[in-house]
Amino acid sequence: MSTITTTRSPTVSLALKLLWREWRGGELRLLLIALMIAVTASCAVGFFTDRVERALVRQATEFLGADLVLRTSRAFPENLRAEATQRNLQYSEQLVFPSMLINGEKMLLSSVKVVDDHYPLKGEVKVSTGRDQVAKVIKQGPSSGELWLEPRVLESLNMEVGDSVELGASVFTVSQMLIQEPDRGGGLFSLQPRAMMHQSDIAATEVIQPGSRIRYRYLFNGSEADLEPFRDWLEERLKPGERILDIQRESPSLGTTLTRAQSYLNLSGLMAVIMAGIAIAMAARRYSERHYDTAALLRCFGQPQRHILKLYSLQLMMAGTLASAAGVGLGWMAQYILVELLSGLVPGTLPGPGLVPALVGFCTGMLVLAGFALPPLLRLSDVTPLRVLRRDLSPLPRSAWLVYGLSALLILMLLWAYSRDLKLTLVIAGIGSIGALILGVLAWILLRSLVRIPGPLAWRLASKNLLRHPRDSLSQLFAFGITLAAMALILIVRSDLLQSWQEQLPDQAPNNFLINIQPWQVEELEGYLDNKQIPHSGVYPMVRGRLSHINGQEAAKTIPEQSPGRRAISRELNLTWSDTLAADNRILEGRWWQPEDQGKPYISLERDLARDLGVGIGDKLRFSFGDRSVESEIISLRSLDWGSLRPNFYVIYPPGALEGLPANFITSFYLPNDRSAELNQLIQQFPTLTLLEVDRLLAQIRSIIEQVSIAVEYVLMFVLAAGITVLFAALATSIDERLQEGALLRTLGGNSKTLRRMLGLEFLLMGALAGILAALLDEAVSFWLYQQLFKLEYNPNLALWLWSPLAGAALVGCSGLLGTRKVIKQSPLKVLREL
Amino acid sequence: MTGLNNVTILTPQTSSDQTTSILAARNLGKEVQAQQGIISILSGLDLDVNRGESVAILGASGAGKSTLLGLLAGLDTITSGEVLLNGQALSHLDEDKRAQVRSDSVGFVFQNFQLLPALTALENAMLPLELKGINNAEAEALQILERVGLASRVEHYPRQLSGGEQQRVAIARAFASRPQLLFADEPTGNLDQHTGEKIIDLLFQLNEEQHTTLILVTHDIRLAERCQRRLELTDGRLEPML
Repeated sequence: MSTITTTRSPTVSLALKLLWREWRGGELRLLLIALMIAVTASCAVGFFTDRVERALVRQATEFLGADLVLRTSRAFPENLRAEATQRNLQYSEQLVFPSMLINGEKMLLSSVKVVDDHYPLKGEVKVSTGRDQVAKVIKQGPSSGELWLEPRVLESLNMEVGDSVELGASVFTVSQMLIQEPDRGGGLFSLQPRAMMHQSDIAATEVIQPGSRIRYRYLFNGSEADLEPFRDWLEERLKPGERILDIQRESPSLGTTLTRAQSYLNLSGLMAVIMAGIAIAMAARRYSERHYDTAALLRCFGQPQRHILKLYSLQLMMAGTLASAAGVGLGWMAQYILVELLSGLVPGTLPGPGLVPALVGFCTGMLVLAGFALPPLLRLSDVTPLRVLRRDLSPLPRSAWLVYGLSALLILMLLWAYSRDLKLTLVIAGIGSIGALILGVLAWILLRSLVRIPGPLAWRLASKNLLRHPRDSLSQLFAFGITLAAMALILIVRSDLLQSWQEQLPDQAPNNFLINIQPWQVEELEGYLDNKQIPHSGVYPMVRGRLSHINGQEAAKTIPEQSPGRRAISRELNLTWSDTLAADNRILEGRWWQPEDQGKPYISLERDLARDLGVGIGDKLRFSFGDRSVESEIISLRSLDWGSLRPNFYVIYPPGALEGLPANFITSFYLPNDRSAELNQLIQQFPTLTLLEVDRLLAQIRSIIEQVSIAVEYVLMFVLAAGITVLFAALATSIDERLQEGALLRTLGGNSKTLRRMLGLEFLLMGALAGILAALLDEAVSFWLYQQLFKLEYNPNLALWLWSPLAGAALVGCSGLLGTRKVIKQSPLKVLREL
Repeated sequence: MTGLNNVTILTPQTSSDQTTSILAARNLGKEVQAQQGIISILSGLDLDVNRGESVAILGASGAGKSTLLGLLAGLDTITSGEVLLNGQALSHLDEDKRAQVRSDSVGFVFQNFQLLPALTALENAMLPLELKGINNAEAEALQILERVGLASRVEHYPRQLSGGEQQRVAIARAFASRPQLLFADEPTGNLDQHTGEKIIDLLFQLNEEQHTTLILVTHDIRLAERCQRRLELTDGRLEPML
């Protein structure tokens, strides 16, 4: 300390020198290690989720075939190729139309996809040259003159690769068996057996005539920055019936999975940051308390308050920089090891780690340090010089709300940056602070009542110790409680998410759709399916109608151009009637039909559509069906699960209401793969029905869900690791007192068994109390999270109230004993002399 | 206070042979590892203390007085030589066995009192008795607290007591278990002269009442003069003071 003998403002070099001495003396070690682990954990989570997220989005867009797809039923008038090139976007176009494939006597209606030289923009195509040949993965479509067919087409037409097949006016030689195409996800009802050919051959087939049912797909790839203005440009030129597709709209089921996964990963990041912050706050407090004497001495040497503040701030900043940088490096390595460990599980080729998580991790470190360590460190500058004479003079906490306000703001900003969701941040912060207040009072009452319970010496010492410094015990209790709550939350949400995903696609999810069922076939078909013991989702009528008026007003004038409701009025909707509510539908408002409602123009509307249209119970919607229209009153709002792969409808009428309108029927059913031969019998029995097999689509969705689940599991591990770090940091804050007490007890003749029992009891108690607090906190937070963020049904988790205190006691008990081994091991003399 | 009538007064645990040595150090050495290398604090130190004797150990600051006291009480491990407490060689005992020896026969008074802040005066005084597993610890502790003049403050916590009062609690705690051997490390170091003298009077009174052997580490020559024997620690060895 001899360096500080003048009142000159402290320099960086002085701060650096002191920093080195502090490190050598072991004083800063805990703070820096806490910070480093914090940054490592949040960085590893950041790097990993960033990479997995990008991989998932990539996989999901492969599902779509591109970053952005424009789907039209007429050729788009503008030159999209030129526009895309000018805007730095990759471009590809496709035509899809139904056409007959003919091989001698045999015919099959298939969906022909016509691709250009740039196909596929995303993902890969899997082909093989025969049933027994090994499939190969390529990144191109058929060349001119080639036709690729799906195995079931070959099977149905009794053909092999190399045979010829007629398509329109052309005869093609089948050159490959098409095993898998990346962009198969485009709508369930387009999934007729696939044939694929090159653009240049289309004219010769003469299949495209005026009035042909053709879907045009224009695909674009590019950076978000290039795509965004292009999307706007396109939207301005869209006509009714033309749609821009992104992954959310294209596959709602997959979209929800991804949104939930992202929310979960963000939530995990948030929890890691909160826990890291707590660890740092605990470590900073200990550091600050151990430096009151040094600060008092510096004041005696004539340093003014602001110099001391500057000195410690400088020291803290430098320490933070070093530890954060080290944390980023470690996090980067940890993430590599993680990816390496998971190489067989995570999406095959992950994109490289981005720079952003490194930057975010570093800033996180600095911000967490500032937000959580500033308040305790500021107390250092308030130390009175008189402390050198009277050691009991501890500085009062700063009354300035500014300091805590600033810290709170910093922390809030950080949480926001991590959650990327202001509402989530505010709710967690709000519930957190109100919860903390209530919990503080509760914890205090619990602690007080514990001390009154008589018991052996170890129990009394343990319970009294908790009450010794109420503020310290409470802050430790909070640290443990919040940490346990964060860990439990991530654990609970994880299993509920996995379960909801699993339920979304149960093992027996329908893998076949039957459409074009005529009214007179319904009874016979139901009988056939029942007879063959094929469980089905029910046969639903389907009537196509357009929403023309809302409450008497023309819908096109009521719904603004930019409104999401616009989509519903720009196309025909599939309407149905039913007297029973499907299992995955739930009435949210209003009521389902009574027998007397039969034939009345009532409707049950899907809730998201109701929201988009701005209508509710009692409002009237007019649907037009060609030359007829029906004015219908909304009498219930429904939620439904688009991911269930059962026929689902926005609008349901009671039976009889749509009497006389042309309807055909639809159903879906599950048939195990080993019974697929029965499909042929079914088609032979009902030759006019169209059968759509969606096994491949299901497999694709399943594989994405599997990967998301794995990511979720592993991120959980990082959160748990961060939690354990907090436990140790919190323990370290009271290690000095525990060491002294342990040494004294041993001096007075206490043996290691007594000590261990006392410490163990204390930590068990603390852990159990923290577990109760955690359960309380979790119920509050998860109630909101489930309702708002994950859109899952919330059920109070009763088991949590049992296992949270138990897990808390076990976790804190074990880490407590582990973290305080020194208390039992170290020579009592050494401790008594040092402290 | 109801337990007072039922108090069983413990008699000091004295051996039939009052003249035998209770504490002995043979060729005692202690080295510590420091940044500069190994530092020898004590070397070849010999000491014999008889039962009931009071011995003052004096020495300059840093001479190793507290280290010696710690080694004699089995609070730290010795580097060479041997300490015999009640004839038992401490170097052969593990930490728990040494704790047992301390629990059975040793008391301590420290310069900075070393009371447990979470416990009341009474609970602090009860502690060694409870650690020893004595049933009527509370009655014993109350009796001794009364003896040191703190009957009215038994429910107070250390932070509510003055320095002198805290040291009285510490003395009560030290004598509560009726040790054969009491180690006192600068017991008046943190007290003003007046309070210090009172504390010393109390210490010697109780010492006499309980026939305790006293090892007092101090640099206060006046305090040392109240002991039967004075030894000075210089260069790691003990020399009798004339």
